[in-house]
Amino acid sequence: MRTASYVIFWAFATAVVVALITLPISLQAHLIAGTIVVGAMILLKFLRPYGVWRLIALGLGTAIVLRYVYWRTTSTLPPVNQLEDFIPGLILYLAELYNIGMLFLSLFVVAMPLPRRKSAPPLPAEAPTVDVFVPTYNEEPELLATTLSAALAMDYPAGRLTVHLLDDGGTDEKCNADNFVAASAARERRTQLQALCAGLGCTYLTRERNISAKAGNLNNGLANSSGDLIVVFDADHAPARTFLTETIGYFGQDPKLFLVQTPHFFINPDPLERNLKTFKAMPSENEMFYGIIQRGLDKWNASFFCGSAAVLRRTALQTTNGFSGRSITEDAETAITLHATGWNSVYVDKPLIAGLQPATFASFIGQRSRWAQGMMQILIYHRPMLKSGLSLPQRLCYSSSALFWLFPFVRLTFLVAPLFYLFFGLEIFTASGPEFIAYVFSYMVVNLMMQNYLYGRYRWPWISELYEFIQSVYLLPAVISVLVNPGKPTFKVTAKSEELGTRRISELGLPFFIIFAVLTLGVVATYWRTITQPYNADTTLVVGLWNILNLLMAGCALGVVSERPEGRGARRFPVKRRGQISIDGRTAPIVTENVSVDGVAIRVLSKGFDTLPVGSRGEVSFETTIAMPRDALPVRVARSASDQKGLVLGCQYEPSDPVHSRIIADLAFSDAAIWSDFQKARRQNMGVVYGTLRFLRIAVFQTSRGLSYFFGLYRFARSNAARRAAE
Amino acid sequence: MSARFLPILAAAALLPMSGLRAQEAQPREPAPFMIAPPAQQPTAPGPAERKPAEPAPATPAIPASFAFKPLLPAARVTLEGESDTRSWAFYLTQDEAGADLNLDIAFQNALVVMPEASRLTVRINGERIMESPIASSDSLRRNSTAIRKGLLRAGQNTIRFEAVQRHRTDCTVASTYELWTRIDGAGTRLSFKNPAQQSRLRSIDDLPAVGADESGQTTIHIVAPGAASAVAANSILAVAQGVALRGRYSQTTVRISERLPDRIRPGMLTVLLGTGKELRDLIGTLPAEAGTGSFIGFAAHPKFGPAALLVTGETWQDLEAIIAKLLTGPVSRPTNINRKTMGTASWHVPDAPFISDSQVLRFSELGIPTQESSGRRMRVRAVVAMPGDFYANAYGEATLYLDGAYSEILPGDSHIEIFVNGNVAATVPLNTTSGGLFQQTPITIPLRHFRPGINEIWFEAVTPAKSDLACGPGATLPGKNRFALFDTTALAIPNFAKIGVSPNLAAVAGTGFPYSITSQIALLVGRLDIPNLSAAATLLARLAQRADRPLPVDVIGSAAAIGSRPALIVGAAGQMPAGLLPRVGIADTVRSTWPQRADAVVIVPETEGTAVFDAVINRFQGRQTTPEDSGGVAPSTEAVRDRWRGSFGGLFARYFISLDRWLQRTFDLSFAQLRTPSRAPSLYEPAEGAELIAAQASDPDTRQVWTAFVVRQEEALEKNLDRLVTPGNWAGMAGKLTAFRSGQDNHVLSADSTAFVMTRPFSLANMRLVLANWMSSNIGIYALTLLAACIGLGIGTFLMLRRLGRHS
Repeated sequence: MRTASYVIFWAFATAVVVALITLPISLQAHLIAGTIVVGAMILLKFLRPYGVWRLIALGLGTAIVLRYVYWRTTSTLPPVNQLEDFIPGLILYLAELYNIGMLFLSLFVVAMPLPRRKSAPPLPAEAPTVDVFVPTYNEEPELLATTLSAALAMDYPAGRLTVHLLDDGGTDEKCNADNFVAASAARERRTQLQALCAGLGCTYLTRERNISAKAGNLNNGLANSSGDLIVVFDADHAPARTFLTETIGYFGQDPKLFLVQTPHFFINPDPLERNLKTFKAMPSENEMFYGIIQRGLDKWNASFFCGSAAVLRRTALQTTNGFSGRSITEDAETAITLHATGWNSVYVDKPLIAGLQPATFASFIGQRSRWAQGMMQILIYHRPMLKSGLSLPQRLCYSSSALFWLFPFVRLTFLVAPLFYLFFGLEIFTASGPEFIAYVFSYMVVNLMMQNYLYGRYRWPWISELYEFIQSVYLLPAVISVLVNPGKPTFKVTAKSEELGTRRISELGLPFFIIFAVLTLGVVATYWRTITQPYNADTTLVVGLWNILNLLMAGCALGVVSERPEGRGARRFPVKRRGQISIDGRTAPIVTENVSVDGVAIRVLSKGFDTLPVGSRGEVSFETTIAMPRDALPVRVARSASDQKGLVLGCQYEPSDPVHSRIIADLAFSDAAIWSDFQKARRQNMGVVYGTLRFLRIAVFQTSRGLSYFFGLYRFARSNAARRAAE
Repeated sequence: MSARFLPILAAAALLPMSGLRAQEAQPREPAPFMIAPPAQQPTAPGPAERKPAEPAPATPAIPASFAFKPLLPAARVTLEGESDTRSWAFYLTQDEAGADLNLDIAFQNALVVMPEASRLTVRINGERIMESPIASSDSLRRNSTAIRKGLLRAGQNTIRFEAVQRHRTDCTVASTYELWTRIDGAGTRLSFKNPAQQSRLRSIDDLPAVGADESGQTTIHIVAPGAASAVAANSILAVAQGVALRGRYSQTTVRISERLPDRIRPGMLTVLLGTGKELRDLIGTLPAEAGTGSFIGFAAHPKFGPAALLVTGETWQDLEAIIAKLLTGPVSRPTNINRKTMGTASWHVPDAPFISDSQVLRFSELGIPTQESSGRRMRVRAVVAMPGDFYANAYGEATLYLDGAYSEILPGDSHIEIFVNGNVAATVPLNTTSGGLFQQTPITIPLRHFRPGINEIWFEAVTPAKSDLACGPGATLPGKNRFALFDTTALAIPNFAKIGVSPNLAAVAGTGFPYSITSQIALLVGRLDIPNLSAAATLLARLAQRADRPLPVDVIGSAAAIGSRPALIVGAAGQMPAGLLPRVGIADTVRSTWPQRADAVVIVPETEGTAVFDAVINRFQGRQTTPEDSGGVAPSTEAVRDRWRGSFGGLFARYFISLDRWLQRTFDLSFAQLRTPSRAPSLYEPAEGAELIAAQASDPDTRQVWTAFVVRQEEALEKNLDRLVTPGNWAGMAGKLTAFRSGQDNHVLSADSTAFVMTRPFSLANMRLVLANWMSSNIGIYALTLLAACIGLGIGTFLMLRRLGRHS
């Protein structure tokens, strides 16, 4: 009853706002009202950008956006009989409408995200049996050893947890392949992994044929196991010890719960973060998704499976014959299918796994192509907006997630649109200078502010646009190919740990340099038009400004495709553990300073170790959080330094035994709190103005860096494998 | 953008008929309320042909018939620029159409007009009658041509003047403003070879054939022996309105007397009005046609010549009945039926379409044919009419779908401009050096400068070419066509907000609104005497023409009798009863102080030559003024104040001022607009030189509109009302109060609080548009409402989302 009255009040308020907005008021009135509304938004930002105030600010922003839509629709489209203006004008208009539509969908999703769940419900008295699936295709055994060890180390009642390695690289099909070399490599891989699993104490599973890629592999796991709950970890996603205790309890609360999803936390930078050097300071790209969108989806019971770091219920999966394999994003597809049949999901906003993400631009594009194509397949096969069984909010949520991947069309339209005027003089946006200032400017300011209100702590201004821009060039053909032939794309495994030894330009970098050159010509055209057609100067300047914005974006992209050599393989986290080191028969007490999956920095607490030659080998042992059969870990000293407190050694692990992997996992992954702390340190809302200035600085610097790579080090790597990944 | 305003155009455009009085086409000339005594006129250092509006005293008093019939709707009609066209209608009786007639034309032109390349063409009913080089800069040139028999017809005929003019030496666009040819009202006429064949008005339908005098004015002389009696007043006013409506005259003056006029002039109609007994007392026996009962019709009589309109009946009731039946009845349009056109034929054909709803008007319907121009500046004119409850100034936009083409031009200097009532409403640059084609290209025209009633829209294509830069010998001669305008071009007016606003004198002037839609109007005159009645009749004749229906007036003796009717008040200040003037916003003390003031010194307009020159300079310097200055007086008070304002203050203040100016320039917006108007009612004290005040207010008790026309001195009552109804002054009425000053700007007070008058059945769509206009003129309220609504939406969303979906 109360809810109904609130809905009626909301509908009434909406009707009033829409009525006010669609009044054909004068330009002057819009200008004044717009200024006042924007002013109110700014004021609220300074006062209280939370709770009801946040929604009021978003309401104000909505008004300006709708005013823009109304104006754009009623007075800016070129006349139909001038097709050369009208067609590009219409495309630009549709692109803007898409953007605004997505803005409203996101508003719906994240208007009031569910707050982080305080503490997990306790495990049921009779703890459900859990099968952990680690699907693998071509990952290195060392990497798998870490992941499996971390999985085995998770806190859970004894005997109720089984870890399965699902190997698709050693299937019968692969082992008996016609290519002799590949077949023998597959057989060798199978043997090696079987030994690893035996050593660690987990199950090795493989299958006859590589059907349905990852979904088929997981289904094979389902067929060969019997646990109540299924946990999926990607091969490079190592869980923290608390993973199960933070998630399993929810299944006891809700018998219709099919999924508990947790965020993916990455300990290495993506190519943009690495090449722009923003990893330490700026929230990662996926934090916007896992930090706020998934929480928003969770409010509407629409949080979906992201392929890893999640717990699923076997009985639910059985109703749909396991994981869906029709699209190449089996995760989201499985989730939408189960949501549509009345199952629920929960999202736990705590990083409980640490993983690797694609390091090079090429593999990054490869991964995103898969996501984009898969989501397009879901859009085509499942039509989320019309899918029966889903609630209306769920439909909106899934539509929002799937439609998002149409952004390449829009980004590229925005990129090209100003050039229509600058190069060809086509007027695809009919507006006078004052109108442009009054409507477009207020709209852009409001758009930036709304993004900041929605995602402020999780995303810096202009960074979304940059990410979209760098993907668009390659995602556009990928998305088009799905739209033309939905069944065509097949699953390709994303390469994640790649060597980045030298500075080079990515093999996918060339188009960005071409775009940059064309946009630079656009700047020249702006200048030329201003000089030769002074009577059009105001239009030219407005369009030229837009082109310069694109140029800044393209300049940033040059920096992204100019790959820096990576200094340290993986991110280090501060971990303090006591232990001792023994080298050449000498032992000394130590304390660890920081830890990564590759190595550890230790401080020697004894005067005896004044110097140690780099390269000397020894063994380190630590106190571990779970009992280990042995606790000595072989290391090699990679560097050595002294400060006033003593000697600090940088050591690289030299694991030779599965137990060593378990020690490393225990060292690196036992405590999820440090990951949260790391994320929290990056989550600063820097505000629109400072963020924009900062973006400008990045853009100028990255442009020059990209150009210097281009002219100084013109070397396009010709890695065929990576190129295939991007197709 | 539309704030741009060119004095030269505005001065002319202020008057729907820019040629009405020749001097008004001149830029430096205010649109004055000239109350200069005729005696002063000769002292003006004006050109020789300037004549007072008074008919030449030399006109012989021919009681029977006249040898000529003036044709112009005004004392002068000016054709301006490189090409200009004017056409209007004149009316002939059966006798006149069949007579042997000559067309006499008299004109004079600017010195700079090149005779070899400039021609004046006159057409009657589409047939070319006369073509003459324009080569008479030093004196009036007179031409005369016989009109072919059969060309003229009884009833409406059209005459059309077309001028093509080229400058002798100058190729600039600015020079085209120096080109003018002035058609003289006194010398342009139909002359009868045989005066005996002349005019004989036979039926009431012949009323338009009365025509006008040399200055375009028609005088209705109502001879009513019983005029002084209260019972006669309503009939007199009804006759005045009926005759003016059915005669379709461009300017009507009503004179009432108890005796027959001394002489009869062209453009003068004598109406004998009275009971049979009264008339018999006046002229002896009545003509045979009048018989003994009620009669309306033309009759001849030795005492008043061949054609006077006789309106008689046995009693006043009979009289009223027959007036209603035969004179006013046929033109009494029901208030709920919209007219399709507004009569402008006497000065512009075709009649202005009356736009009461969304409508698309092709140029062909507006009388603009497909045409090509080889000149630098091409201008065409369209006239449209808006209803009295037009309420879309603040938000509305019309669209011109242009079909046209242009050839090689100089980009940057070339543009199309649309003027509405003399204000720039839209500018479209022509940018393609090699020319271009417009195919239904939309041009947005804000409705800001539209007003109820007649609106004049100019379409101007300015197309200088490269050859104009060199301007070699003969370069000004007509050459290659530069601009083509097709008659498929269309003006689309969207559905606009319609609601009456009071006070709004512009609506009274435009369509007689709100009197045009009321069923009973109380008329209060200062004193029930003949001058007052004449003045009221003149006013009502004008109102009836604008309203397109006779207004049902009831003459009353005191303000108390007004009751709950809308009221019109006419009189001299001294005659007004105490306490009446404050009710329309004028100070009560005015009654005694105002008439005592010394006569204002009349400022004589400057000579035309310098005026044109200044206008050109102004145009070059881009001196821009605000639309409020449309009086055309430069520099205006606003401009001077602005200049002074800019020279004071510290750095911050100057930035503020320059920001304000930028906003003004770019958005036509000023901080002043955000100020809330002071609600303190202040009563108007006439400014220096004010001779007539028109003031309107809603009566607080009855919520009915009262409009008062108050003249300073009793003696000048009729004369000042005559002045008021001349098109130039009439169109100047606006706001809640307009003070007409001799030789100076009108003083217009805009309404500080207005009330709405519902004029149509309630409809949501219309109310939305009304709201849009109101919000657009009350921007602050719009902003606050929007703000409040958004806050409501935010709170609503918060409350709703807290209950919907999951909440932890």
